[in-house]
Amino acid sequence: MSNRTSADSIKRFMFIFCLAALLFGVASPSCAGKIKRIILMETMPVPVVLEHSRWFLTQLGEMGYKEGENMRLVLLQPNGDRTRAESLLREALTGGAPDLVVTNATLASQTAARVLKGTGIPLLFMTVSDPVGAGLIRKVGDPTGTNITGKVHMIDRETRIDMVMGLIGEPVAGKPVRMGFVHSSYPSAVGDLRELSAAAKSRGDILFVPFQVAYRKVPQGLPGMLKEVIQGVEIIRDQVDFWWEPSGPLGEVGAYTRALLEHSSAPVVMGTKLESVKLGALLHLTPSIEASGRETAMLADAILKGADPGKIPVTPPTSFELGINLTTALENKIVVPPDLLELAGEHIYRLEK
Amino acid sequence: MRLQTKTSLAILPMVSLAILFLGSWSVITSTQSLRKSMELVMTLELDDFMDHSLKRMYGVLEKNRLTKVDSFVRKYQELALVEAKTFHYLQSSHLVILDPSGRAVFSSKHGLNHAEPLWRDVATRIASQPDGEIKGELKTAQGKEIYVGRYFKPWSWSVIYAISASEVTASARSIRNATFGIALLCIVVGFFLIFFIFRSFLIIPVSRLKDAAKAIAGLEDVDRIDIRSRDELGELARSMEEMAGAIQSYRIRQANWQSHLEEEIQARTEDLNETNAALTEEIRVRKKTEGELRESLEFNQKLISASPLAIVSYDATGQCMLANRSTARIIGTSQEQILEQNYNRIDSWKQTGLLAAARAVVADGSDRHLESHLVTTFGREVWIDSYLSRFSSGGQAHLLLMINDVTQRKELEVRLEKQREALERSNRELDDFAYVASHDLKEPLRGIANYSGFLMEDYGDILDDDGRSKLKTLIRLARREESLIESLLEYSRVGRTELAFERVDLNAVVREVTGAIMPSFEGQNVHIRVPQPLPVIWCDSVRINEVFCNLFTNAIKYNDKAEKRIETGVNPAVPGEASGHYIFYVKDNGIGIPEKHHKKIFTIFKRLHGRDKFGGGTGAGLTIVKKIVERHGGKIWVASRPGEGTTFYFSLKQGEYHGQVQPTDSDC
Repeated sequence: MSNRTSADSIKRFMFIFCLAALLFGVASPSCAGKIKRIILMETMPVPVVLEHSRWFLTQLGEMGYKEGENMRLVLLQPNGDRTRAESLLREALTGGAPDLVVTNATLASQTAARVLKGTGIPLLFMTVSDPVGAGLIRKVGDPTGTNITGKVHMIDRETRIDMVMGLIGEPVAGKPVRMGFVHSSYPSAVGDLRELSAAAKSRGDILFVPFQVAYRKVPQGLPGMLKEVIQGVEIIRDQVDFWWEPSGPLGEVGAYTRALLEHSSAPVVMGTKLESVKLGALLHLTPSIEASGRETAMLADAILKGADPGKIPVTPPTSFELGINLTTALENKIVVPPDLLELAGEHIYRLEK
Repeated sequence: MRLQTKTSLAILPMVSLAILFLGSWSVITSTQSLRKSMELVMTLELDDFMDHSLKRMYGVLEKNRLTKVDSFVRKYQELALVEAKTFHYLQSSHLVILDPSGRAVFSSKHGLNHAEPLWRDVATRIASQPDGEIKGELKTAQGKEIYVGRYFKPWSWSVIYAISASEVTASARSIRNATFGIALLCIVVGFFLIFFIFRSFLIIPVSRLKDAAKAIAGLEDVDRIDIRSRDELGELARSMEEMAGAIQSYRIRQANWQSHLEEEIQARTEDLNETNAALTEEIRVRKKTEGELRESLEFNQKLISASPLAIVSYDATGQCMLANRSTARIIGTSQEQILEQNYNRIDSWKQTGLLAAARAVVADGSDRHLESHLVTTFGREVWIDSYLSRFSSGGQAHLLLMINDVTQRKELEVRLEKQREALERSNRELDDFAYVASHDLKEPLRGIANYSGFLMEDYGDILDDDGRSKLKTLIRLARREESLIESLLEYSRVGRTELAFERVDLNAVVREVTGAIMPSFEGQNVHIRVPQPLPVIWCDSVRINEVFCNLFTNAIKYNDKAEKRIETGVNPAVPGEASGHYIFYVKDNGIGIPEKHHKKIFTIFKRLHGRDKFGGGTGAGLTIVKKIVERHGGKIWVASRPGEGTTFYFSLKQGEYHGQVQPTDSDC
């Protein structure tokens, strides 16, 4: 299992490397001149992280960055290990100060922020759902005033709760809807729970029932975490009406969704990834990974051309991906409004009978 | 009633009617336009609602295969009705939706219970429309409602968008009131304006023109009409002023003209008297002329009648107009019968070509002469010489035919022709006889001469002198007889053989003849001269060579001068020159020929001197020359006096020769 995960990581690295080489090989020389050295550190090889990196590099290539000609990309993959992340980054810095460090997901971003503090090396993060909670910035929407900036990868929790309650409010009218929330101790998952709970408290018609499992390095620690997830589901399943998938590496894997569905009769109302909807979750609403990756690449280009990251505000996402499972809605007598169905577009799933 | 009053009475209703019609038209048109515009706006609004609410909702259901899911359908219908509440309504408009059972599911203005009975029939009609569309007007207790309706088939909903008709007509009423107010004001102002204009520009000037016309009619002097405008009335006033002036001057001219006319009548009367006198004289002269003309006509008629020639004239159609007595005589009938004839129908004219000639003469006006042998319509066989010519009378072409009866002459010619043919035949037979006779005689003579020679050689020793002398005489006579027969044979050959005509340069012929004969006369001081070049002619070169050879030989032989001069040439100035012929001559300074022998010398075997004098000969040379010349179509004659030399003339045709030359009388 471990060997296969390592092989997958190598394959992904090779894929990203080749893709970058290909794209940069055909890019226009819009940034000709000195070769820019960029360090890209991915927290772990989960789909959301890898997709972000892919779109980030695609956009860089389309803007004229070409490996070996005007850019030298250093890819670091600590596989969810904070210590390894730090050591890899430090090692990379020994080769000279990079023009930009790009981090993908919370762990890598936190590590880089700590290592680069006081160096003046620009740090650009992405796939971070709660940058404030992760200690990267003070407030979303304001310029950071530091060497750090980036893009938030999370939709406002209140919005997501509103959308879910608009759909299921009626069937469980009269008492708060209970949302089971099995999560790891991974920072973004913890921050997610914190934000959701705060939003739920102000409403009163929804209640989150959490169960935390200890975070282990991914992918090696994933089976252990899933075992604990099953245990947690079985413990709290009688206390919940629906399941809500958390942010972070645990919610990103399909096995997590299957664990919820197979060990409980309650439907999953909010999936972390689109795959969750395919598996049976009612709804999935996340920022568009493609848009987020491309926007991050544009920020990188601006910084490489001399923009001060401290003057660039960290902003929430502007494009979203919505997925709906109509089979789940019909089974639970949930009527999905036409606006949502139109917004979901092609991401509507229904089992053929 | 005065013109002013009539004008007023005409203008007032015209202006009123025009403005009222205009006002009514504008109100009707604006009302219709407003109604159409309102219906269009309502249609657009309703279609917008249908597209963005009902169709959109149903589209989502359809796309996600939820059209049969009741919970979704009900929810989406509710949402559609919620959206209907936010529909953008025009003032005083409302939206009503009825389900298939006629139950109102939505009404934006009245309660559902109120709307349902009001619009149920309309909803039923909408549902029955093939395209699900309808527009119309509904009478309600509150007034008329204008509506447009659409049928939403998936849910069987009839959607009606209505508006109070009074809202639409309110604007039209305002336009109508304003139009009529303005029209009334226009009537009053227009009337006074038109009245003033008519009075100033028409009625007053017309009144002044009327006064002026009355004065002109009374033959009063009108110098000026007080209308100064530059329009048609002003021009009419100027014209009337000119007319008055013209009438005035005409009256003066009329008085002058009357006296002038009397003088003119006097002068014309005198002219008339003179003309009458001249006319009387002219009548007298004309009568005299007519008498002379009559006499002349009678003379002409007598002349024609007395003419031995037949004189006939035909009109343009071919009808005979005139025929004299000689005509009747030649044709063999009466003048009356000839006058009935039309030459187009006379068979003998057609057969002899006379008809074609007559038509050609009438057509081109060229005179023609024709000799014909015909049997007349009246059975007479006659030879005639016809002379045809065209003359014009009464503007039409007439044919004049003069006929000469040449029957006797022609009969004589036929007889002569028969005699000539007999003579020719006789000559030919004579030639044949001469040839045969001379040819057959030649051989025995040669035998006699040869055997006499053998006798002299073999037995001359045993004969005495007398015998030998007689034997020599026999040989000499036989030789001479042989020469005569040879000449006769040559003569007959000239008459018998065909001539080989070709282009011959006579200069070459003369050179050849000179070269051939000169050796025979060497030492005799002979000079042959050709003063100018001879022509090239069409002849038989061998025979003409023979002519020159004979004449040159004779000129040398019959010459006793120490210097024998011969000259030959062409076209000397001599009488008897024939047209179309070259005249050649051969002149010498020899002994000459007495005039009494000038014809004899051409007779065969005729010699003027002793047998052995001047070189001897058979006496056939000139006869052969004459025959050769005549066979070439020419003649030969001689001019000579004893002691003064001789000149032989002979003629030969110019140009190419075609056909056989006939023998002449001299061949006899």
